[in-house]
Amino acid sequence: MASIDGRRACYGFAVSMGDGGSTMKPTRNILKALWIGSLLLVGGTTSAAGQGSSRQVLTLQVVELNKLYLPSLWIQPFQHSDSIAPHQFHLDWICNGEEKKITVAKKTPGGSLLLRANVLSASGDVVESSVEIRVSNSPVDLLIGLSRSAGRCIIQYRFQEKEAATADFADAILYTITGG
Amino acid sequence: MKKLSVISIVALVAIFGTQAAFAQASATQTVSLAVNAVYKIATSGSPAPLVITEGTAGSDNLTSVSDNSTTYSITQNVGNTLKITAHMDAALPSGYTLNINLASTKGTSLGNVNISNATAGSAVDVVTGIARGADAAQTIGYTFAATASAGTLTSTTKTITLTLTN
Repeated sequence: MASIDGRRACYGFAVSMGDGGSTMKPTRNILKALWIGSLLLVGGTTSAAGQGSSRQVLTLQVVELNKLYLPSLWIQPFQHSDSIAPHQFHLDWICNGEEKKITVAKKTPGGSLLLRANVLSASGDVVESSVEIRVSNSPVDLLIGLSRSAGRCIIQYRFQEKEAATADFADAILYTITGG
Repeated sequence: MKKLSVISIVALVAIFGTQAAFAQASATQTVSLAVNAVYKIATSGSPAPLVITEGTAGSDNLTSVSDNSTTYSITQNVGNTLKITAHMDAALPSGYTLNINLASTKGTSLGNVNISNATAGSAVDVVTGIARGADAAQTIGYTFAATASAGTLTSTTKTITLTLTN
């Protein structure tokens, strides 16, 4: 219907130009131009909009992860007879869960030295603390308020009783990152 | 007389026979031929789940995981400057990163492209300058990374759309 109206309009324009013979040529030219223009328009739109697509479904997951790293230590508490030298090491952690803490416990009864662990230079908002490490089934909190973070601190051991030193012995001190 | 008749018959056959041989009819047909613009892209399926399970104490970046098990193929006759874009149905939360890497022999691969924030309105180019023709079974690589501070992520499905376009 739209094209018929368009044609009428064009012929109307041609008639108003003058006599039939001379006006038919411009009319045809106009019609041809309109036809070519519409073809270009349609073709151009198709080309611009032309595209193909394909889809993939991807499953993503990050599981809860809690890790600690600390070195093994060989400590000689009383190297120098008059001093009780502190021994320190770095403790690294990573946890991506909420409300975690690091606890410490001495798991072996061997040795009678009283050992204190001081937390120094902790990264982030971690509260530094100082705890006495005793043989116990109940670990004590060393670092609390760990949430979705990776960090590092210095653990400094101090022996509290010089007199108790006797011979070499091995102590197993267990650090645990757990729900707080 | 008999001889004359035979000659006449032979002559007639020769004349009319020749005319019959030269007689022919022809008809014409108009066949319209066209090749439309073809943009085809297909993928070989979906990759296995990407699950992050490892990290290093002291480092906020967890150990990333990758998948290169799927491929894509394209066929196009449109031009020599086509490209492939990629986007997801929804952006990833902050702290999670998804990179895509499409190999290509007909175009230029842009390598690892971060599509973590690429959605339908902001698709990103992954291969450009694709020439006419076909490119079959090219590897699609995904790398998923996360930080510890971003937290855990429960199993989440994302729809990745690859689009061949000009």
